[in-house]
This record gives sequence, C-alpha cells and structure tokens, in this order.
Amino acid sequence: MSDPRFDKGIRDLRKLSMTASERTRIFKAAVATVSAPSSGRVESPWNSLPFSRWVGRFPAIAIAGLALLVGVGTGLVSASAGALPGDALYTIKVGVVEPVRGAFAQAPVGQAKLHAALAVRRLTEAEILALNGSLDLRREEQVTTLLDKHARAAAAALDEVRNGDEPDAADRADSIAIAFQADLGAHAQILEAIDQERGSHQAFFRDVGVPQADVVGSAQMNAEAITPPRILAIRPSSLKLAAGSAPAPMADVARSTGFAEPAMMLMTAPVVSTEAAGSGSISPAFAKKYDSLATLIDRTADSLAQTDFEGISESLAMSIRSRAESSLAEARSLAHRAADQAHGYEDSAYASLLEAERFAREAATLAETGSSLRTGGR
Amino acid sequence: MNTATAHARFAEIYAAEADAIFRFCLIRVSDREQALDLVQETFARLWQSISAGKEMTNARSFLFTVAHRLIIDWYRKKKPVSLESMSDAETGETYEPVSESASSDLELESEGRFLVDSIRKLGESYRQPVYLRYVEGLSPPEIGEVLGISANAVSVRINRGLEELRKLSGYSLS
Repeated sequence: MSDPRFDKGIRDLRKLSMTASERTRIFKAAVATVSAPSSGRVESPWNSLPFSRWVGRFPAIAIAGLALLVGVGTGLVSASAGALPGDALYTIKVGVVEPVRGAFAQAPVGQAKLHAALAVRRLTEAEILALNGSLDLRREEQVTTLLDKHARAAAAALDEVRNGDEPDAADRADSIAIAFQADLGAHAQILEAIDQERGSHQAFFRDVGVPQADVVGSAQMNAEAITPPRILAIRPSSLKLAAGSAPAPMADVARSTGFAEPAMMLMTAPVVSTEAAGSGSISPAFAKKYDSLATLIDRTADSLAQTDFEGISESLAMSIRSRAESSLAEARSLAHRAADQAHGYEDSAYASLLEAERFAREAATLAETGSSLRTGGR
Repeated sequence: MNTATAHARFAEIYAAEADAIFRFCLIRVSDREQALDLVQETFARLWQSISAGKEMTNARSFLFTVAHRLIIDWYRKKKPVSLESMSDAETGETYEPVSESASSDLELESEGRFLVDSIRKLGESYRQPVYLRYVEGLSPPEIGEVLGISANAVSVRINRGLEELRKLSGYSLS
C-alpha cells in the first residue's frame, strides 16, 4: 500500500493541532455551554426488582405486554395506526406494531422496501405536524432519529440486494434506491417549503446559529448516502447539470431538426425510440428505459398542470409547484444528456437516465403529496 | 455519574481526541477560528451527553459524527444548495467547494499540503472515507457510523477513492 510520499503527507497532516492556549480555551468554553450535572440521578427503589429493570429497559415492549394483559391489545394496535409523534400511542406504533410487521419481510428486497416506506411515513408524519405548527424540537428529534434508523436499515438491505446472486441484482437495487431517493428528496422539499412559510423553530435556530435535530437535513443526507454506485462512478460531471442546459451536440441536433427548445423534442417525440434500438447502436434495454422515462416526465408534467393544491395556502402551493417544476426541468435535462451519451458512452448514459428518473419521480411525488396536504388536518 | 467523574471522563476524551477533531474541521472549512468554533460545539455536545449520564461506548465515532454534521450545517448556512448554485457547479464544484488555494491557509509541509489538495480533488463521496481511514485511522464500521452509510459501502468508497487518488497524485498505492 505504502508510498513514502503518501506516508509523509499523512504524518504532516497529523501535525496539525491546536495551540496550548486554544486547547484550554475550547475546553473551558465547551464545558461552560451546558450546565454541570447535578449530583446524579436518584435511583428508583423499584429498580431493585428485576422485572422493573426489564420494564425500564424495554418500555415499548412493556407497554404492549401490559396492553395485551388487560385485553385491549387489538384495539390499541389498530388505534395506534394514525398516531403521530408526541401521541401516547405513537410508541406502540413505531416500537411494536411496525417491527412486528417488519418481521414478516425477510428477504433483502422486502426489507429495503419496508424500511424505505417507513422512512417516508416518518416524513409524512413530520409534514402533518409541521402544517399544524406542532412539530416542536422534541417531536422533530423523535422523527429524525427514526428516519435515520429506517434509512440506514434500507441502505444496508440495498447493499445486500446489490451483492445478491441474481443476474439483475444491481438493477433491482438501483430501482429501489432511485425511488427511495426521489421520495426522500420530495418530502424534504415539502418540509422545507412548509418551514419557510411558517417560519418554524428550525428557521429560528438556523438564524441564531444553533443546529438542531434537522429532519430535512437528515432526509437529504440519507438520500445522498444511497446513491447507486454507477451514478457515483460518473460524478461530478453528471450531477450538477444545470436545468435546461442541454449538452452542445444535442442543441445542434435540435437546431437541425427545427426544434427551438431541445426539451421540446423530448416531450413531443423521444429522441431514442425503440425502432432506433433496432439499428444496433443503442441497446434495446436502454431504449425501453428511455421511453418509459419520457412517458413518466410527460405524465408528471400533465398532472402537475392539472393539480390545484386546494388544501393549502396559495404561497405554499406556489412553492411546491415551482419545486416540482424545477425537478422536472432537471429530469428533462438529464434525460437529454442520457440521449446524447447513448452512442458510445453507455455507462454514463445509463447513470444519467437513472438520475433523470430520480428527478422525474421527485416531481411526481411533490405534485401528489402537495395535493394531499391539508392545513389543520391530520 | 457524579460531576467529578463526568469531568474526568470528558477531560480524558478531550485530551485524546481534540486535535483529531480540530484537524478534521480545519481541513474541511479552511478557517482556523471557524474550525475552533466547530470543535467547541462538538465537545459541548459530548459534555452534554456525558453530564446527562449517557454511556459513551465509542466517543471517537460520536465526536466525528457530530463534527461531520455540524460542518454540513455550516456549509448549508454558508452556501445554500440550490438549482442556481448547481448551474455554477457544472465545472465540477461540489457541495464542499474545492479551492485550489485552500490548503495554503493550513500550516503544512509540502507533502501534507499535496495530500490535502489531492484528497480535496477526489469525488465528494470518496473524500471523507479516505481521509477518515488513512489520516485518522477509523475502521470502516466507524466511518459508516459517522457518514450514515453501511460499512460495506464505506469499503467500496475507500477502494475507489484510493484508485482515484493514485491516478490524481501519482502515489504508488496498491
């Protein structure tokens, strides 16, 4: 492994340190920011009983067990379905009901989809609370912790799917990852839009420079963490393609075919058709994926145009609509890039196509979620 | 845990890890005072946990995780990621802006500076895994905890990152 220059570089880096006075200053300041502990927690006398200790360690299971004992278990479980963070039954919902249901999903694909769905459910709960103005710090922390937990479990299951023996293992993992990324991205944007409109505590803490449990940041980070390896392999060139800026060769094609806007070509006639694939230059699998992406973009644009977001305020609706339109523009641009790369750069083209799909799905989820939101509703 | 024990535990961890956390922050934000603020905030979180009587099984990963998130928050406040900013980034600029001259702010000898510059040129997803593995000696599961990804994904990123580093820097890494 070793190169003497690399080793020397590492030794040099490790010499970077604080001065003695900086060390003392930071130590004192860190300790001063929070009050010193009290004389310690007083141990409850009940803790001397082994059962109480067990109950203390597993409160959720203990609550559920108790519920069963008094014969209201079933009612409690069904009543917990609509519980939100902060509700008494929420602990049962996320600590007992969901894990029990999760136990039936054994295969990695099932696990990945289940945890992805649960992560999205957490975000939806946060949206309802945020719209009601009741997403306080404690609830946000609760949602963020659970979101992280599910997203990590989904990521681990996705790795298992990807490393599986099936010939299409990577494709299956990619398709779940892309759908999950799109959901995380869309819900993070919805929360951000609500946050901006309401001027929530997050905005306040950001202003005063104190980072808190941040459900939006967590959703964005978790989305980034599950980026399929084929996309990572071609970054950064593919990631930051500006919305609406088609690669130059495609613009030439657009001019020569009389289309003023390259994006128009995509909407009116897919650049790569299944017939073109017959020529042998483009793989049929690519052409098929491209065609279905063009359809997805088309349908999402239609449904976005028809959605009126009637359950929410005009400004929130405008914010969500413009976010969806931006995602859609990004998807069009990436799809265009994919078409451009299709001859000769199949790996890059496929990666661009995957990213385009992510943005198209993000736009679709934004439109769909935005139209189901109800201010003041649960 | 009483106050004296909590102080002793905190001081022990601070003595062992403060420089590593400082280095991690300084290399990423390229501003000494900002890095010191981040170190202070990171250790304040540690003190908060220890003084609340929480068991600290792996203080090292805890500290890097907190520092990593604070740095991301700092970047987010400093430079919001928007579609407009993405258009600037077509040249290859990523979430953490790569500045060619950034390492000149660090008091480093030439090989150290060359290594920092090379790591900064790596793809965004490779930088932290490579840095945490080789400069700070964290294990892949610990790095996974810090970055919120699986240990497998960390190993993959380290290997690819090294490969990229080899191409970029001319190091003969195997």
